[in-house]
Amino acid sequence: MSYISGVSRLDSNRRLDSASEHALVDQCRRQNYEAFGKIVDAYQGRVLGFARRMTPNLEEAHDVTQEVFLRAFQAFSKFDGRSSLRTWLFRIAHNLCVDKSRRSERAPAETRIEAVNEGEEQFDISDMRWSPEAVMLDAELQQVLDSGIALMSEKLRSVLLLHDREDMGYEEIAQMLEIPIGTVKSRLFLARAHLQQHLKKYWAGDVPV
Amino acid sequence: MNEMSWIEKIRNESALSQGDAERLEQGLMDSDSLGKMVQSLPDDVPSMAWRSALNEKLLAASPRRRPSVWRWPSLIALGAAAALTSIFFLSRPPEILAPEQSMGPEAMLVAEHRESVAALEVSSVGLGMEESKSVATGHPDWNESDLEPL
Repeated sequence: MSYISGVSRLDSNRRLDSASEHALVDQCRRQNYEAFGKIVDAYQGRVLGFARRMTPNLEEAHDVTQEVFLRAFQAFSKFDGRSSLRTWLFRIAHNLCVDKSRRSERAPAETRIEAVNEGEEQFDISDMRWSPEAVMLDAELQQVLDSGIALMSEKLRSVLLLHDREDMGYEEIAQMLEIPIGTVKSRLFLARAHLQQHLKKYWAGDVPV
Repeated sequence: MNEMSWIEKIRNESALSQGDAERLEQGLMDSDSLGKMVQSLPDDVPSMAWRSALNEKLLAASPRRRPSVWRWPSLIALGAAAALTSIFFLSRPPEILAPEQSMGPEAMLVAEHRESVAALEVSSVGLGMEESKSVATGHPDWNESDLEPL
């Protein structure tokens, strides 16, 4: 357990292997409180991270995350296993976040992708700054990334987080958001393009941290 | 093809030609490192206070923790049945005992009279009242030798 700012916190994300998760799901269908607690242990950090980036503030993210698990617990008998547990939980989280943001009328100013001249590489992959091994995600860079994510529209943000943070496949995301696979790819591409432009501005000193 | 129009197609989520689709795939592969940066963002860690609050809500929603709406009426019905049973048994009249069982003076007189009647019924020639009485009660004061003069 680590202590941050005087508040004790739980080590999150004790990930479950598929057999353990399957056994827990069976027990949760019978509304077994203890079994569901283990599922909360495994997913609470990830769901909270998703909600935090999808909603305007941390307090709302906390409320949304609690609501996700409460609804999942109450509706577990209806979980038929056609989708994975992860997909199901994140679908609940996504829908709740969208409802929240629509109610609060949050509409971030989406960074416009600048016109690219023909022949110019859109992504400068030769630049070592883009190498994951060379880039150290220090606290400042994490903040810059988070601010870049926050500037995107909700539809780009959700695809970016689900694919790149949660490692979901295109088909899984398409099924969850009820959109075509081509649309998932387009949104992911745009989301990354926005992020790239935001990082370029940061390295140029144009992004306040 | 003009870059902007291609990007506008992506932005408008319009149908892409095969060439556009291939460019899209290439663009996704080229930006994979950005995806890894996003993946490297640390997980959020909820506080114990947050988790306690969630646990309370889950407990309240848990079916076995929910207070039974049927419990109190059942207990009341059981209590009422026990009370009625007690009243029923306590209100029965006491049993009337036979006079002989009461062991009172009246019973003793009755028993004495019965013995006397029984004694008279015994046809023993020569036996006096007291003698025949003792035969009737099974407490003989005589033995075989007493009958020899007869």
